[in-house]
Amino acid sequence: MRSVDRDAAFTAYVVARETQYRRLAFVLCGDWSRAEDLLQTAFTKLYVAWPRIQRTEAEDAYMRRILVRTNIDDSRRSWNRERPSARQPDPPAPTRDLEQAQVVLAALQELPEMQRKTVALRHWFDLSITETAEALGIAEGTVKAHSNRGLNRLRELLSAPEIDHENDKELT
Amino acid sequence: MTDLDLKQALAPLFDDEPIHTTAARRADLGRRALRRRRTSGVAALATAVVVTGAGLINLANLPSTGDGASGPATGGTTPSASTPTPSSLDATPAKVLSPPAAERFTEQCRASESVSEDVKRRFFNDGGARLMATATSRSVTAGVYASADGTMWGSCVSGNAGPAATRLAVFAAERSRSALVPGSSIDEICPSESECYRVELVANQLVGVDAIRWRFSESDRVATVHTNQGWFVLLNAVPVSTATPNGNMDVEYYDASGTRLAWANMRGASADPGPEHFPSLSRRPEQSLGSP
Repeated sequence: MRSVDRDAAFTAYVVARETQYRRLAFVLCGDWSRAEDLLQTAFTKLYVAWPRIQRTEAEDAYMRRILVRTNIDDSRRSWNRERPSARQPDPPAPTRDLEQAQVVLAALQELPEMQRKTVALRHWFDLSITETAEALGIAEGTVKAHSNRGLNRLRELLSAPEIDHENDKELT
Repeated sequence: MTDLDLKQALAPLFDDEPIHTTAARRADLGRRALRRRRTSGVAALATAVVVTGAGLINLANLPSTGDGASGPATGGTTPSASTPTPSSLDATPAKVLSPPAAERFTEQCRASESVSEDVKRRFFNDGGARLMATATSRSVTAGVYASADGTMWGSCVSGNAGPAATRLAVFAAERSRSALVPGSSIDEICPSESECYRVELVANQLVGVDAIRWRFSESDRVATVHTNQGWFVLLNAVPVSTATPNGNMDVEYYDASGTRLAWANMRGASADPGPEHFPSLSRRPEQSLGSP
């Protein structure tokens, strides 16, 4: 494959998929900077393996696999880190929905690694059990077990009594 | 919580995503990685595993691994999955880097651009980092370092043909009790477009552990090494075409007498003591020092 063709096909794929995979990386790790590291690591690996992966039309499966498996050691790829500085977005004004979303994200990050990945892939990214098993390299039965445990734990974490700061009062 | 709840609940987080890297930049980074890999001289990457710590374990001291139902030698718990089967790799003679080779390897690691000069100075010069354990295949050498005061540690992987692909990582020494087993890293190296290898590395320290047996998830190979004061490196490289990712995470810890201390696999872990009693050093970004 000529370099020009490779770049064109790869770039088109990146444009089409990067939002989807950046968000998946974010849900997996809970941090935009790490998500960008993960994503770039995955795209770099994809570029290197592009001819082989594209021949088998396995780009999406390959990306998912790299994203969930690179998560265990993304620190070694820090040389790849992008530090966007053209615009520093103002922090969004906290809304009730955003606060609740941050609570859910924090709870998700508290799950054990495999439970978190399984829940994210199955219940946020909408992968099938088979696709999740393939991405994580585990048996389908293991996916079900991790998923059930993860959702149950998530429910427990989110059902913990909520603190209402506006009505905080000192009890004496 | 339903699927819809989770998606809806997280949706507000994506209202203001940070600026992302352009597709052209991503392609450029990919091209650079491709060039690095093609020049790293890994064409003759070994498919065999050669592992060295202080030396390979004497298998005669280990409990039998043929009967997974027999339980650990310490008693009290029984593995819920079959115990890893020893491979012929376990019998590979110990091979420790000679002082000149260790010096060359360290020079390559110190020349790596993956860590800032300031951190390399603090780690190697001020910190007196020493090479604690290494592993070598035909084309790749990996090592783990520790600073003299124990506050920093690092791992380094280098292509044997030259320093082009050397990658050093330095971390603050913090141990994680939550991780059941020391995390491995997986890299894919492609000497050519038709030839790719998957390299899996486990480098860490487990205090109180004299030997570790590990099943590599990418190849199903099993390696067993003695540690050097708990430090060890396991390295495995196989052609992608023959790698069979199966997610196995079988690991067993042994003491100096060959008694199994703890074990963990995808189905569970020993309970008393569990692997969490031997916390490994964390490689998380929060502990990473000094990317340039």
